[in-house]
Amino acid sequence: MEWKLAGDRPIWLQLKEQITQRILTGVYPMGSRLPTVRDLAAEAGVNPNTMQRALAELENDGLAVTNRTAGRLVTTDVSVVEKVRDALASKCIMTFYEGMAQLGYDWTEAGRKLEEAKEDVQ
Amino acid sequence: MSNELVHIANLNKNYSVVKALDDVSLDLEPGHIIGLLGPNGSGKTTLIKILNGLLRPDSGTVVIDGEAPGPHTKSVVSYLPDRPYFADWMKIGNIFDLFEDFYTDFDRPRAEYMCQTLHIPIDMKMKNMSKGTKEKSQLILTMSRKAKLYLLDEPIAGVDPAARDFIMDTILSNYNPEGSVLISTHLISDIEQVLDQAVFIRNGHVILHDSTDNIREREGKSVDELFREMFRMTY
Amino acid sequence: MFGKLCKYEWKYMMRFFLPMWGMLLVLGIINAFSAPHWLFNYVSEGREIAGGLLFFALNMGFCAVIIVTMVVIIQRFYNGLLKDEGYLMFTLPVKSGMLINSKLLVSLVLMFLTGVVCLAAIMAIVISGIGWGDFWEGFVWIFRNSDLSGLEWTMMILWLIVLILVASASSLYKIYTAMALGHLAKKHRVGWSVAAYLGISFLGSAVSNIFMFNADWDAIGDALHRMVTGMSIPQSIVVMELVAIAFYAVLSLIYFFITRYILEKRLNLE
Repeated sequence: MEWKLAGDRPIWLQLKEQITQRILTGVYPMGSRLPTVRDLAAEAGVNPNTMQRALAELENDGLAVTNRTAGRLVTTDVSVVEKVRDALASKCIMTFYEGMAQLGYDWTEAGRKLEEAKEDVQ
Repeated sequence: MSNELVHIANLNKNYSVVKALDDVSLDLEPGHIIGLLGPNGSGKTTLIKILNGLLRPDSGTVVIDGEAPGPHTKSVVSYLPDRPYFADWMKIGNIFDLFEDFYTDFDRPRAEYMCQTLHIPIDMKMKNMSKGTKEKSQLILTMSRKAKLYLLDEPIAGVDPAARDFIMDTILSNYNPEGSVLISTHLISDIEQVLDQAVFIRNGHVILHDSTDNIREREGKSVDELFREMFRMTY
Repeated sequence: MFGKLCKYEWKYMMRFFLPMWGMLLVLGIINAFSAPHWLFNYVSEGREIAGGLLFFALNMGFCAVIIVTMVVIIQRFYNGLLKDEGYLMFTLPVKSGMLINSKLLVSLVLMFLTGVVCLAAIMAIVISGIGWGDFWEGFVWIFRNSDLSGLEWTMMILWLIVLILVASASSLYKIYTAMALGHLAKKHRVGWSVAAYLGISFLGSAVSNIFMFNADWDAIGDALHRMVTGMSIPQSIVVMELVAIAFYAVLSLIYFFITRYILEKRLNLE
């Protein structure tokens, strides 16, 4: 999985989003140890302080916990992960409906389009 | 004494009639990777050479790790010049010996390991090295020290993208996190993600010193975009 | 730190000097085998010419060695401190004075050893020409018929060696100062260094000329006379040597401070 970073938004925010994605999709499984700040920073090609900040924000959200002996671990609390997943899903849905609204679809029509697309894909 | 690593106040340097640095004041703390950003001829190299003791300012104060530039500061500053400083007869191993003797913070095993991964033979003469290999050797020497201040003068000028990635990767994975890295360049988009602070320098003046995240948040654009805007206005 | 700097300087210099000294000694030994036949006894015209050529080669060798020694010493200072390598040397955690003096000390030792090697080559020819026995007898004769073995004469020779070293040091410092002055120019730094050397030499001879013409030679003569009255010949020579040593030492110090000032405060590597 590649890191994709755009210049116009704070890097730490983008890093946080992408690490969250990795946790949600199981690239970093629950309860596993996260790579060190230095390794993650080198992998993403970013400043370690920036990566540090992204991880600190992740801890604020409860997705990661720092353990004195084991280092930084992905949370084992399913409810936290699901809450984050839900929040991101709502955001994703809102983006979809807003985009459809700009094309002139109302909420119900947009929903119908979504159903049609699902049938096409299948 | 504050925890500043570098304290520069009212620094001036003229080359005959040209003002290279005009009343520059700048404080740098430890633990950051700082971009010294400005077009060619803006005073970047002059500032770096004053910090490493190769140039004397006409007036002003420079304090690094509590002392004016001299033997002590040279022992904690690791410098990558914008040109190769090797003589043809030298082997990289000779310079390892030299560094080992003079710099107590030189980590020879690490330097040798880096040479190994890059397939640079330690007993190869500089004369027989390509320009790129010389540049890599010099970077290895610079980054194998556990220095308090790394001064990297245009490390990515004129290299291809693969070499650039290698250089940035080497810097990131080897620098001493308790120290700071000052990288001068005019190619900002290439290294923007690595920087956590930016210093803009124009015609010998420092016109901006801020964290890169602050810049992005406040301006809603990348440091590179802001740089292009600010420097377009003057030309 | 000073010792380490000298060590690196020495290592570098040996790449030139070891083969050079080797070549000189080989030439000396070859000449030593051929010299007795043509220099001391006539053998044949052919061998005489061959021997003459060998002797000529040895002389050329001496000239070459002196020139190479000076060129290497000068080039070592210029390339080692004032060109790209300066970026390496001036960022080492040492004082600029140490950089200058390490180069000077190593150069002095090399000049001295080169002199010793040249002398050895000549001795080889002389010894093989007249034979060990005669050589040794002559040596003993000199000691017996002069007071060379006495303390006074030994002191005179020791001070003479010191004088040669101090005078050589001052001439090296003079060359360094000229290169440092040339470094102040923006362009054509080598040319300006040569000009600076000529300028310093001119200044030196102007000052000494003014002194020569205006000095009260009678008074100086008297003073010298009074000073050496009651001294033996070697003792009075030692006095002269000490005066000369003091002169060259002061000159060396002046050159050193100028060079160090420029390298510390006015360094501007391109």
